Amino acid sequence: MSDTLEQDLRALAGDLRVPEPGPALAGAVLARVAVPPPARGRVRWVVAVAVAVLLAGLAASPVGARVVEWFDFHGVMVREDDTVPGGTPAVPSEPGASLEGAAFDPLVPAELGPPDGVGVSDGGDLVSMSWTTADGTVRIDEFAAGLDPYFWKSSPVAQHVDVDGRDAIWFPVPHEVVVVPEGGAQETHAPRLAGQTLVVPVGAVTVRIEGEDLDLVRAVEIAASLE
Amino acid sequence: MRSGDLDAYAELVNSHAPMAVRTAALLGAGADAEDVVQEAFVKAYRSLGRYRDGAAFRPWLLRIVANETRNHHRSAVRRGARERADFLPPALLDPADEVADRERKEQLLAAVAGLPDRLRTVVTCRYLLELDEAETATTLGLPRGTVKSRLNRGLARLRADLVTPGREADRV
Repeated sequence: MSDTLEQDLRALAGDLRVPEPGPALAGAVLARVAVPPPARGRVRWVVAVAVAVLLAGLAASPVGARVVEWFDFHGVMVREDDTVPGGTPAVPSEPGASLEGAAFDPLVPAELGPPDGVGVSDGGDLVSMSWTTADGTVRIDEFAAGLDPYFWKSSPVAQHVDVDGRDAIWFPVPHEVVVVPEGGAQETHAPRLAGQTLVVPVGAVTVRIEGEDLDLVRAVEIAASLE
Repeated sequence: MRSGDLDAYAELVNSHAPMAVRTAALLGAGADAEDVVQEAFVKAYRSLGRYRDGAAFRPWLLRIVANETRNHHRSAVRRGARERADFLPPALLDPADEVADRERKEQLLAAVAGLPDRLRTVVTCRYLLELDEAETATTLGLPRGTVKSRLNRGLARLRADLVTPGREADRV
C-alpha cells in the first residue's frame, strides 16, 4: 500500500510541467559575479564599481559629481560635493617635533629636504610634515592605508592621475578635510580647509601632499621624490 | 573549483541550472524560479569559500536555492502578492494519460500542495525532485531524523487525504 503511494509520487516527478532555465542564465550570473562583492554594504560596492570603471577607462578625466557620489581611495574617503568651502587653508603642523613615534617609516621627499615642521599623532599612525617653499607652504600627511577611511574629503572636483604608474587622485581646488582616526568618531578634529592636494599610495603608506599654491606638476615631482 | 574561475563557474551554472530551476519552481517560486536561481547562483559563487572541497556540490547549491525560494516567497507575501501566499501545485505535462490516470495524478498533486509547508517541502524534495534522504536533509537544512519523520507523517497525511472510493478499491 505504501509502495503504491511512493511509486505514484515518483511517477509524478516525470509528469510535471516545470520551467527550464533560459539561455541567458549563466551570462546573467557571470555578469553579476564578475564585479567584486560588497565589502561593507551596498553603497560601498556600487561606488567601488564606479571607481574601477573610471580608473580603467578614464584616467585623468574629471570625476563628476553626477557620476560618483563618493568613493574610497587608499584610506581617503571622498565625497563629491558641489559646494566649494570658503576661507583659507589651515596652518600645517607644528614646528620643532621629530618623526620619532611614527608607527611606520615616514617618507620624506628629497625635492623638499627636511621638513620645517613635524607632527606625529598620539598613536603614531598619522605623520604630518610641513615646508615653507617658493610655492608657498606645502604640507604632507602620511598614514598606513588601512581599510577604514582616515581622511574624509568633500570636494566638487577630483581627478584620477597617474604618478609613476600608480593611481593617484588630484584635488585641484580647496576642499574640506575631516580626519577620522581608525574606528573613531568622525569629528575628533574640526573640519579644516585643504588646498590643492595630491593623494598617492606608496607601498602600504598613503601620502597626501597639500599646498595652497601647488600645481599638479609640482605635486607629482614631490611625490616622485619620496623616499 | 575556487572563486575567481569564471569559466569553470559558467560550466557549473549550466550543468546545475535545470535542477536548480526545477527545485525553485517545485518548492514554490513558480514563474519566478529563474530569478530565484540567478540570485542563488550569485550567492553560491560568493560563498564558494565556505564550500568544502569533496562535499557534494548539488545539495549545497540546492540548499541556497531553497533558502532563496523561501526568501522570495516571504517577500512576495510581504508585498501583498496574494496569489503567491498559497502554494499552487505545478501543472501536469500534456495528457498522454487516460482520463482516470490524469485525475488521479491531479488529485495527488493537489494533496501534496495542500500539505503543511514542513511536510510538503520534504515530500517534494524526496519524491518530486527525486533527492535521497541525505540530499533532502542538506537541501532543507534539517537533520536526517527530522526528514525521516516528516516523510512518514507526510505520506500518512497524503494517504488519509487520498481516501476515495476508487483508491479504497486499490488498497484492498
